[in-house]
Amino acid sequence: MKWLYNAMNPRPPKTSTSKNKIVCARWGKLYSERDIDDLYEKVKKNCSVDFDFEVFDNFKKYKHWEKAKKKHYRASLQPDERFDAVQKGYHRDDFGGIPHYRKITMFDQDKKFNSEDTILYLDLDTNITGDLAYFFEELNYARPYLVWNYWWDENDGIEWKRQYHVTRCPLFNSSVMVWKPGQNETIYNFVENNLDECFYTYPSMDTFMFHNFGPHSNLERRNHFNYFDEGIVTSQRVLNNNNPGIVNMLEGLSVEEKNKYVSH
Amino acid sequence: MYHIEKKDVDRFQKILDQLKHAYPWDGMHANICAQVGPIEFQIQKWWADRINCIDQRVAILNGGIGYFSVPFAHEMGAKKIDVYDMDPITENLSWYINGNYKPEFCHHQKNVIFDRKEIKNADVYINTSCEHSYHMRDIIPPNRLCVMSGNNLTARGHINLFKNMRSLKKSVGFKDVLYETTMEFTYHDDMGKRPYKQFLVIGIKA
Repeated sequence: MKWLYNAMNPRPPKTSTSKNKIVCARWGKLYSERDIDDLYEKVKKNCSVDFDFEVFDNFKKYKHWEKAKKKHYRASLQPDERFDAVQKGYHRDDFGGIPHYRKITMFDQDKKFNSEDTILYLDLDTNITGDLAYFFEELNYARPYLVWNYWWDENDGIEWKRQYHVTRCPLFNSSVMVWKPGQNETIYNFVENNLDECFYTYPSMDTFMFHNFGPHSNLERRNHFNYFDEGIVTSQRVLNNNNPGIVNMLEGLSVEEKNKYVSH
Repeated sequence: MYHIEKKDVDRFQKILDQLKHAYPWDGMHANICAQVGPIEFQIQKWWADRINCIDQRVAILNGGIGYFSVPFAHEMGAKKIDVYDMDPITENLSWYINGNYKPEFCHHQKNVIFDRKEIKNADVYINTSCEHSYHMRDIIPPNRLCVMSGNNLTARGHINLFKNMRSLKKSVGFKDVLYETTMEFTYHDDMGKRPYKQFLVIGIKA
């Protein structure tokens, strides 16, 4: 982990002063240091409680995970961009390799924090539209949180059930997560202990967690998460001019579309 | 003895009824049609014509609703028929249509890869959907009779394609192969109409 300095947009030095940790992760070429600076600016503007901002960008400890990813990733192109395609005979949803596995390593890297700290993770393409203090003051921290895609769960869940058989689309979204250090260690350990099976089977971290730590998982792992109340975290794709909540996810949009919605 | 009994008619009626009332969305119809259609029937009948299940415990992995596999295992004399499938949506349908086969029959909503420790010990392991999951060689215990099948069809959900019979055998890890065959079928979806090969093997797991 390192701090990135930018003369035009300086971030504070790396000192741990707050129990409120706002973190993000960056790897590959899809996002730049500018995106981190932009997120930091949005956080600074929209968080009424003190916080430390940290970037996870060093994953050297997890070389064996990268090796498993490369071993099992079945597409011919690297997953830096979203694309709809069949490659090497496999549909995009079936490429395997969990390209976002670095986010799961945060469930191990959180050992550096104190047990009373609260971690708020934000994807780099999230738009902040409310006060982030909510995530540090208003939740029940007995279990970790992530986003439940309420918009797929309407009308008796017909849409997610339909998609379950088409793309294995989950109701989980890890674009925004809150947890206490150690609460997600079981997820990290599960992947660590089933490296080949996990990286072979799943292209999506969210599908992996929905299948193995969701409401239909094995009893030992079932309902691992709490979910943010409906409307707290929203998706621009299905917002339809409604209240954007506290965090508005821009997942699934093009770079041009994202720029349109980002508030600076 | 008739080949078709009232319970067979009841099962079909139940599926039609459930499709209309419990699963009224696009795609579910195609999903269930595939499970009760002629291709599935040919695949399941192939193993049923060749193995003996008398007094055997049969585990059907990735079994879906077991529309053909459950009655075939029953008619072959199985004393226990455990169907495993991770799909939480069709679990109720499987219980509903296979109720006549209790107490031998039991449906388990389990992921056969990640919940493999919870697969009950069996004498015969059947997985005719190997294209949907990680290699069976790491899942099925050694020295068991296995019926394994997979295909080379590009389709959503097919994460383990088999180029040929050899790749299927390697994925399972047989020490003895008793029967094998290749069937040719045609598939049609939004990606168009295309032929594919279905590989089937009966053997003893190494």
